[in-house]
Amino acid sequence: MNDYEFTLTFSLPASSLPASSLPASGGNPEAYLDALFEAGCDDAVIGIGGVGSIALDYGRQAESAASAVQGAIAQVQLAIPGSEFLELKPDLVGITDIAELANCSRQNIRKFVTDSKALFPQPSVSGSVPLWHFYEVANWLINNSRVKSKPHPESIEISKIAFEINIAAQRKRFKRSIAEAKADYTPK
Amino acid sequence: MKHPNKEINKVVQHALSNGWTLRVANGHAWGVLRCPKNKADCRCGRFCQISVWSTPKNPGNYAKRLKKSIDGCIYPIIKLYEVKK
Repeated sequence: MNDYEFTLTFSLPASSLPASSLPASGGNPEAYLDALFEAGCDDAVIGIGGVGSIALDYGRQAESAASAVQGAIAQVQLAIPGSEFLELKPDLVGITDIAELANCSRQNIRKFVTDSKALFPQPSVSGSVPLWHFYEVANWLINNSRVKSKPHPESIEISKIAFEINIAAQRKRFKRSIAEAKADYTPK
Repeated sequence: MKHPNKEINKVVQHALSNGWTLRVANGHAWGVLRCPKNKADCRCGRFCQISVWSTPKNPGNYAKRLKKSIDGCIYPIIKLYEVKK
């Protein structure tokens, strides 16, 4: 058995909206606490500060990351019918998150990012706060002999699944956005 | 208010001494902790309010997760406190 640490977020069903709507605000997360406990989510700290969404921070013992995540998602969907999976973390990470997951300092990671010879992976999201897929960064950290502290294999396993299922969720969301757009925006 | 489990209670007291507030709940949640900062830009505000189970299967592990959620606040109130100690 391994210990897997991960965070799941779900949107809560908003009964007033049509079933085809994008994940929207609505629903009080506190109403689902008992159902979540009974479904087996007692190994998670439940974040109920968001409106229309709920976050679960797990420390779960399982044979594999896949069974930990799949089991957790199934339990939440059982406890909250109509909830929709939004995100599994860690996936998109900034320098602070990378340092924490790799057990080293921010300065250390920053050094690798800015060193052109280090061939650090390119961020997936650029901007004032660049973000990387942790799975790509973890592979780089593992394979780079200059890096002394390495991320836990459990967190890499989770980030691989997160990379995959978050993209699937985004694609589903994209298709729905197109379907719900009132017009196509091609200039006439 | 004291949580019946020693390890969890220690984390609850840690939260309270850093300005978090506790609302006792009923059901499987023993209570709900609220962050004094309550800012939407910290983890989308979702962990500004967290549930505390009364009887998790593995109280030791759960207490550790709980502490991580509390200390994960991006505002420095807790970190300053730890430095002073």
